[in-house]
Amino acid sequence: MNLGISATEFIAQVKAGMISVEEFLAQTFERIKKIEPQIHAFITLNENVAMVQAKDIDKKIKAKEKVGAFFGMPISVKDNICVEGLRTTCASKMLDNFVSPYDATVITKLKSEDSIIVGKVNLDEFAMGSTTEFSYFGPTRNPWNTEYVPGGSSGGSGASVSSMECIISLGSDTGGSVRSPASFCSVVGLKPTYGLVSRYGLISYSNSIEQIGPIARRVEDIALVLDIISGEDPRDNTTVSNKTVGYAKDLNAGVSGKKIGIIKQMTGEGLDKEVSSATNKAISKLQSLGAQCIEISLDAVEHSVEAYYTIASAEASSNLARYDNIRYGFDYSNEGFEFKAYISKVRSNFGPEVTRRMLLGAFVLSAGYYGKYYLKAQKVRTMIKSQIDDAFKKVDLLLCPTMPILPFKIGEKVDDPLKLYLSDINTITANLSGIPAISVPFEISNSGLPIGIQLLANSFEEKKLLQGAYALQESTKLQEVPI
Amino acid sequence: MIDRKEIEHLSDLIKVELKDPEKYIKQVEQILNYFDRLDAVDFDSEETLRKEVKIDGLRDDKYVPFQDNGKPLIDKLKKDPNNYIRAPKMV
Repeated sequence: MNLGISATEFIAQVKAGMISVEEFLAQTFERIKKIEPQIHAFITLNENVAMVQAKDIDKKIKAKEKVGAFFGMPISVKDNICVEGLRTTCASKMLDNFVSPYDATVITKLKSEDSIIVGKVNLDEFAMGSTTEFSYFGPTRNPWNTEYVPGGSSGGSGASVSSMECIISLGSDTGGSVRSPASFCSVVGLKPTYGLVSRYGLISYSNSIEQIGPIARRVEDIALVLDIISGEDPRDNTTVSNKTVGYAKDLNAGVSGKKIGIIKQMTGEGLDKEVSSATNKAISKLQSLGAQCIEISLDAVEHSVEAYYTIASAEASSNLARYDNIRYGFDYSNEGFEFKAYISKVRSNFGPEVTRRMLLGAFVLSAGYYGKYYLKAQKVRTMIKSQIDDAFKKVDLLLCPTMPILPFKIGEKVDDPLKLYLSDINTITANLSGIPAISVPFEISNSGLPIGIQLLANSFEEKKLLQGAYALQESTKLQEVPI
Repeated sequence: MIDRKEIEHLSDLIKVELKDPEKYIKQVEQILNYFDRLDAVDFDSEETLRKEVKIDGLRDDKYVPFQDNGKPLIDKLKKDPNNYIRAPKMV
């Protein structure tokens, strides 16, 4: 049985009776057990519940009863999104035994379409990081070369989809956390427009920036998931009603006559040579399909890294103040402790990256520094948004490589936080300005490591974005994952 | 300039007992030095990004019972045999 089929193929084959959901799920868990010792994408498996659901769906299909649009499709969920009855650890010791009492809105929607959650996947602690090395449970490994990082923070999502442990995964993207692992693991990852997908049930890190986004092996699968998870949610006041339904329709509209802006600041100096040549190749392919490519300069993005990390750290330090190990957390008695002494003691169990960001956040918000850092960062954010608005008056889409560098070895940059922050330069613009962005796998380097190309569109123009991404995907044929 | 005193003040603000303050002094300083690039930005506007929301666009403030599916929330919390949550002393 081919576990590497797309979501659309899975649905068609189950509908046609060519495969049974139970058999597909059983083989999926067999594969998970076989390769997890090498990949470590999962934190929690949901095998017993998943197999019961699979049998139920098969029964319903046989009895010709109504079945949801996903027909038992196996999905994995980043472990900062709540699924009722399963642990939601955020890859942190601080939430080690936290079992979620409710489903996130995206989970309610996916469950109502009969998708099956195979398990919760690894991330950098509280989604802070870009390599998945900052997980309390240990790093996830890149299926293309297990000595390398899978990207992050949704590294478990990227690796589980890439290595055929599931068909689709949900991640979250605060500064590139869906697109970075998509690029490094050779899968597709979308960060939707801020407000398109409900964040209810996503454990907060940086509320003004983050979005839940899907990871899949094909662009058409991303469109299918977006059709289900997008839309207004009374439980998240930042969501808007979604009038552009039908992302999966007309995906093959092509790019002929479309104007694509090549972002000057993200395609020039500082790029890895192979990433640069892959980007040029992608531009040529799109031109040969009839797109017109012009250079677009976004001066303000030269200050995006410091603006992004100022804002994200400030929001993180506020959001993470709530973890006190009293109502849930790990076993550590507070008998005999004074309140603050206990809280400070247990909170020393946050990992190094979370601690750094809380320290930075407390600093940039503190008296005397607010104007110097936080306020200026907000102004840079406004400048970026205004330059993006101007750019989309001239072009339909923007393009740049998703990551300026190739995947690197585990441990190589773990003690150099600034270097890691700088590798987010191409992804954070979409988060600061709220626009949608997608990473499409485009090439494999000579050393066998994936390179992804990023397309960006104006707010709520996911349809146009997915059409561009589909054209790019169809313009190249990539080798299969070696694992 | 981040020194020992400043990092202790920050760790007090975020309520985290730092195991290795020296490491954080170095890293936080290095990152803040990078953040200082914000000083070089030439702002042509004093505005920051905001979005106006109409008051009638907010949902009604009404009680919605929690669907606990028969499993009370308290069962998911750390508690003693008498169903109390124990907190440290507030002195």
